[in-house]
Amino acid sequence: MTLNNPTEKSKKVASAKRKEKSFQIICIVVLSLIAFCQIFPFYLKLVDSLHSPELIPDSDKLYLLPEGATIENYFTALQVSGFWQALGNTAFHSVMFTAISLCIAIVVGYVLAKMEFKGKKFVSAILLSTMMVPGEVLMIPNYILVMNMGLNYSIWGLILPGIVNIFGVFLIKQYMANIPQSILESAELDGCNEFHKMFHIVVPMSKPILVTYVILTFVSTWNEYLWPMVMQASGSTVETLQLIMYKFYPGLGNYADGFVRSAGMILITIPIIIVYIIFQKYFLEQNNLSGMK
Amino acid sequence: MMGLEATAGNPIRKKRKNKNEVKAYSLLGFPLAWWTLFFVLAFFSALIFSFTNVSLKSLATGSEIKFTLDNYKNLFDVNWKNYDQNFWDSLGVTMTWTFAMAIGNNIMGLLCAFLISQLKHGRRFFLALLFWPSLVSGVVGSDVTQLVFGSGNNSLANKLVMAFGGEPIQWLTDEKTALLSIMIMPFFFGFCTKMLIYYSSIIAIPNMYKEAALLETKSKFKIFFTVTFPLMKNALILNLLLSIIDGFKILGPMQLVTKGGYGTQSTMLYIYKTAFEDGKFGRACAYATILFAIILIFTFIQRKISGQEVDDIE
Repeated sequence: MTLNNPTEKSKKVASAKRKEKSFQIICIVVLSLIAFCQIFPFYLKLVDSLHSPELIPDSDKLYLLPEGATIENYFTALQVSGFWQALGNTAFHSVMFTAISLCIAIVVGYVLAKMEFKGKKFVSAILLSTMMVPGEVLMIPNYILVMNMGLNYSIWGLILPGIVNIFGVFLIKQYMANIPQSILESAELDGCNEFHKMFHIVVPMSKPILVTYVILTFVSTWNEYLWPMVMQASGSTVETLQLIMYKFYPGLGNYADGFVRSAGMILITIPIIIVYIIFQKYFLEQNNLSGMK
Repeated sequence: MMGLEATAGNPIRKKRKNKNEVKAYSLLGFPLAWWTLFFVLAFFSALIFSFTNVSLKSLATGSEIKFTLDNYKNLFDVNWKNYDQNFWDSLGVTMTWTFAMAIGNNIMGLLCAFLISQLKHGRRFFLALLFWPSLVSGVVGSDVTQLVFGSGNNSLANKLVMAFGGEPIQWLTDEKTALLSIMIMPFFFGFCTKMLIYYSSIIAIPNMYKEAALLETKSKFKIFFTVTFPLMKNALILNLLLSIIDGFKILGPMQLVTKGGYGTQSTMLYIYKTAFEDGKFGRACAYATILFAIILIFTFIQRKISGQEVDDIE
């Protein structure tokens, strides 16, 4: 009995290890399967965009590889009238909106997280309560407001209405609240004013959350189509990439149109994927969203 | 000496405090004013518009705006000549969408977060791999939906149906399947942000709980459901709240894929069409008010059930 025990124990350990290993494999297989299901439809889109423009697709065949693979469709998409203008508009819109709303979110977040003043709780509470109001519900009054301000004919009509981004304010505020007050107090003793504290101490320490905010905001602004569409309803001529791709039928014939459209869709997604690849290490690993719990 | 200092100290401190207020509010001034304009004022003017007949035309011509209850009569008075069943139908579509997404996305998000947290290697790889679909724009996503659920025999969905011996389906132009087909991809793949929130919640749980549980049972799933999951209550509440808010304002897929036809008109899309295609602002504002009231009721119920205060969620 006593002699048997150790070997039994090691057997048990070995079987537990084997179990652990097979569990790991199951996890990886399931996750890969989900990832595959996510990627596959986009892969089909990619295949579609790489077809030769002359191809007349077989109505019974699901193309898993492009027929007469060429990137001609991409060049055709780039030559669509207004593409470059729209690219410029979208880039300007995304960059300006991200920059302005980031500055505002930093200031408001900092004040709410790190300064003591009367009415702080009240200001926090009313700002937070608007997180429950989907912006789309306010589309109509905002439309009238922007029209009356005369902004609707310029790109600022897209940028300005949403620059006080409450979601961003609270995302940043939560993170800043975890920065020890003692650091700021000692800075104050050294004679730092609020701006100095904000931009030389708190901002560098909040870099991960700021990067997270920049990615999320940049991407969602790049992808926005509803508000630009509303602005166009008011007579604005500001085109964005999403809008021209949505309305895009170049008239090259039924099938070729579809291929060029696919190519255009891929093209307008590429910048986002690049931004994501560059910055993902910041915002996936730093566990930033836990602040929102 | 002591007394002097105390009496002298008080006013100074008070002054300092006031200085703080001046500083804080001067920093907050512009953002708060802007926010008041575009949120508070907009919110109340939407409420007021909903009781008027204001329209695109009357704004353009500057004609008189009358107060009226017609917008609400359209919705609630069944015998009224303009009774608007379309709104309630669209609300049904929105509710279906919201509940389906709340369930699908949270289950998928939780599953993926759990599986990733169990991995020994490659956690970040899988997080990155599973997160990217949330970066794809609505326009591109709906285009992909159109490709996958194409009506021809060569679309992916029809190939799958035919592989199981079914007949090809006109996915997007059939009342029975249109809503379902625009829901399938978001149902399975719209979980990215939720996964991230669940994941950070799981890894924030101290290991000692799991180690203690390991003494009792070896089953990872049992540990998950008895120890880990109850500790993730806050993440669950946050995610459900996000699901509800996101769900009720849905309009992208309906607008971009089916243009609201074939029984896929969501409430937000109906509001959009009423306002910007028909130009009936007052009416659209009444719809928006009702939609907002419903969102409010749901978040309130959800708060009550979970027994949480705003501060905790924040």
